[in-house]
Amino acid sequence: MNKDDQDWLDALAGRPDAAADPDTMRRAALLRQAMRGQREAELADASPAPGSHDGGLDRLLFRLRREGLLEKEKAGPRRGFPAMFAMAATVLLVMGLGWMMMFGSDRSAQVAVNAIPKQAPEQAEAAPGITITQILPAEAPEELAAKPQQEFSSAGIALAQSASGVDIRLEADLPPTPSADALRLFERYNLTIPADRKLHIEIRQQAGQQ
Amino acid sequence: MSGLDCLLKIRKGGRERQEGIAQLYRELAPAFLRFFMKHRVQREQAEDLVQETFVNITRACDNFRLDERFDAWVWKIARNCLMDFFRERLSDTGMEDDWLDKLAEERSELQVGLDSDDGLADCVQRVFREFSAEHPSRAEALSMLSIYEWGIDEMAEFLGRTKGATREYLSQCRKLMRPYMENCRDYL
Repeated sequence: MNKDDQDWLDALAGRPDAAADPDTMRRAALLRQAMRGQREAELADASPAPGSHDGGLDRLLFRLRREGLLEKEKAGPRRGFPAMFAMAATVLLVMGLGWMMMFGSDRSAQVAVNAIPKQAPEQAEAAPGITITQILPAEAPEELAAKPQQEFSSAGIALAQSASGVDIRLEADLPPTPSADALRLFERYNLTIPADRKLHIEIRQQAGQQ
Repeated sequence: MSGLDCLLKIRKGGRERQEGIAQLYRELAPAFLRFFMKHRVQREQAEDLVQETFVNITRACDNFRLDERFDAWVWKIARNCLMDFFRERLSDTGMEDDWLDKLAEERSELQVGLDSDDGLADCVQRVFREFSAEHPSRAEALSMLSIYEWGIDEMAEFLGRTKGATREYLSQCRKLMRPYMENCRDYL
């Protein structure tokens, strides 16, 4: 490849050399324009119409699911901050249960669990007298709290708010059968439906944030 | 969201993987479909190849290195799918260096004339269409270079050739392009 070829290629790739032969540059610029124009026109033809249903994507997702490529979660420890909460939750749960067994107290113990991703809302069983508080880490708890409050309210669940320092607590008594909209919200926020129907959420300031 | 962002979501697995795949599909599926059809693959088979490409992207997502160009990586996968498709049909024939071009190119008589009222840009567009029809792989390689503004490294990755072989290939592309461009000489 000689220098003129290289100049031509550079100009095609949008990196024209001012010192190159002007005729080479002109031809390359025209060709570049033609190629880009043709590609745009062909892409417009190949793209599905806006708003139309793309069956190809459904087919792809079906195949990926069938081949086990879609549900695959990464193996190994969960990433970063949530992992620490998950571990802390396990320790607290063990300690809480131990406390209950050793002292037989009827005082209400509180167990914190982190809201971890899952595919669908699940029911969490808790030992009698133990409250499960689900933790949502946030950079700005107050800002995050407003949205679920409004959305759950629209889905028939009134979340009562209280504050503890910068952290926000949201609580509600759930109906025996939450609406489909409510279930979708549980899924979206990665929340678990407590078996005792008493929902406790704590939106915590993330470590290192203020 | 960029293609790289989509790939990083695909890597995470679970729900994020599905979102990443859907986003990447919407972004790239029409371009892949066009690419396969430019190589004279029938639409139905081209659609299958698009599916195959995304399955392979999902399978290979962990192999992507962050110091690579995402577009070169993803297009290499698409090109490999196309080559596998042709290989299946060529299992008994010898493989020449330029076999993909030879397979896809159906020589036809070059008939590029100048209409008196054609402008220069129109003329170049027309001769490039002719060039694409005769040399689809080479035309696609030049298009990739132009659209993604690749250098030799990315082009070599896409073509699966050494840098030296890639330079030679592109130099040949220019040589083959020249007679077509001559049809627009009166405007130049």
